[in-house]
Amino acid sequence: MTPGFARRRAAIVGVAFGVLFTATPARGQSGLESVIQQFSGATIQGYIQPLADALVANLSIGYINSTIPGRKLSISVELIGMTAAVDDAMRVYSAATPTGFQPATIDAPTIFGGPATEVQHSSIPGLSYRPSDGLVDAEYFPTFGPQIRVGGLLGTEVVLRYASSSMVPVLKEEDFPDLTLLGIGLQHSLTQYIKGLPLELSIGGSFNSIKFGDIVDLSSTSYGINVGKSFGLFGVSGGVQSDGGTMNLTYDSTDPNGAGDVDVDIDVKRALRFRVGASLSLAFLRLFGDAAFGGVTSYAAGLRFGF
Amino acid sequence: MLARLTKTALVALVAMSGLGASCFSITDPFVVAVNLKDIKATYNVTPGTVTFDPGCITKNPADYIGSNFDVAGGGQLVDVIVKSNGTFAGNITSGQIRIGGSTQALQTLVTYSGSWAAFNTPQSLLQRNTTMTLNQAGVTTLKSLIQNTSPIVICHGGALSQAAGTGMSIDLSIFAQVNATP
Repeated sequence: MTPGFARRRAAIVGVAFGVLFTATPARGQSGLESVIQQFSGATIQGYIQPLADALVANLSIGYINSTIPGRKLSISVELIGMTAAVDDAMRVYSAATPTGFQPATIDAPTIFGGPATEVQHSSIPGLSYRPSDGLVDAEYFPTFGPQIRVGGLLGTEVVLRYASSSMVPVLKEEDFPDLTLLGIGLQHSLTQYIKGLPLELSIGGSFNSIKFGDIVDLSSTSYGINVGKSFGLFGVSGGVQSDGGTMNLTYDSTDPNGAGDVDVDIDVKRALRFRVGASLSLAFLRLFGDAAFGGVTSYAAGLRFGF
Repeated sequence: MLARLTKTALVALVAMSGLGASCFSITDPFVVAVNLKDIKATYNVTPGTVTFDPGCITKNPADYIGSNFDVAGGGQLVDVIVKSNGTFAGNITSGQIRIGGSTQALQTLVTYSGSWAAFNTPQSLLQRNTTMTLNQAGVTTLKSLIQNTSPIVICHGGALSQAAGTGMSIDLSIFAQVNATP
């Protein structure tokens, strides 16, 4: 492992909510920026789509940590970690080679796909093409962040999630472009309107935004319905939610087939996921977690301090 | 009991954090196939001449690869594109693109021929609409130069089927990649 790589990984670990992109010390351009610029606006989607999918899957969970919002005013600080499972379908995509090249398409690594291989032109010796490596080698793609929860607002809980790379003093701006995570979630009790239900019923939703440098700007929304039941210290919940979002990329492409300014939206198609969660309350501490199953499976675990 | 549960919960949380970190790393080395930029030039054809030898240009490393990359070894020639500008009724009979580290050490990269009008539409090795032939020695030379981030001298010449008119020029563009780490 090179010292540069070790520094990069240290920087990565230092970002508590870790969208984990390499940075090159004293050069001011991250690995992510460097690789994205090799793609035109028409060819970037296959490489970056799995990252958008994983981020939306991560950011859409971790907001619910009780079966139902409490009726008493409460405030708490939480640390939350989410991780999306990276399956094989997220590692390879069918990439178009430059116009006229044969074969016209090849299997190329996505951002999660590992090393790429050079492809020879099928009939013109001397011509070859190579896609770029996948940047991230991961079975799970994590995201972390702190959040503040205020409850007891007419049966509603409000959660504010915020983190910025500027909050991590060991990171220098020239090494690690600004990364900002912002999220807001709501959970509202329906049980207060419907008496006699055997389970506790609530609706919830969230808006999330994550920006990385000047090139990545992802936003997502999620909404759903939840049922839950408390058993003393323990609580379990489940529900269905709809998640979707858009990743906007703005960069200067060096692809000869599409060089110049690129401003492209990568759509994360809205899809239903089923969520299950559990919590364990211990005085002023609460350990909670949930998982959402669908096109992308993601898990969240958190620790709440407060009353 | 409560204290024990709390301790267990915290240990579980820390263990999950460690698991998440251990399942994640950056590809090392992370190799980007960098599109080399600006390996292109426009060569003017002198009116009245039958052979054209408009000269050579030199592309320095700073012209074609950003300083934020370290070459990791390996490169690819993807395509060579030729485009003629201006009106001319004749043909290009022996277009030649040579490449090297200096004007004293040139290898032929591509030869081409065809009607001048056909080349008004960009012609490339990949499209193969006209006669363009790749020379392996030139490919090897080009790859060696870009892998060593050396200056690249590109010379261009050829012959026409009749004397050139005014306002004629030829654009040459080389699409190559070098494998590099950011």
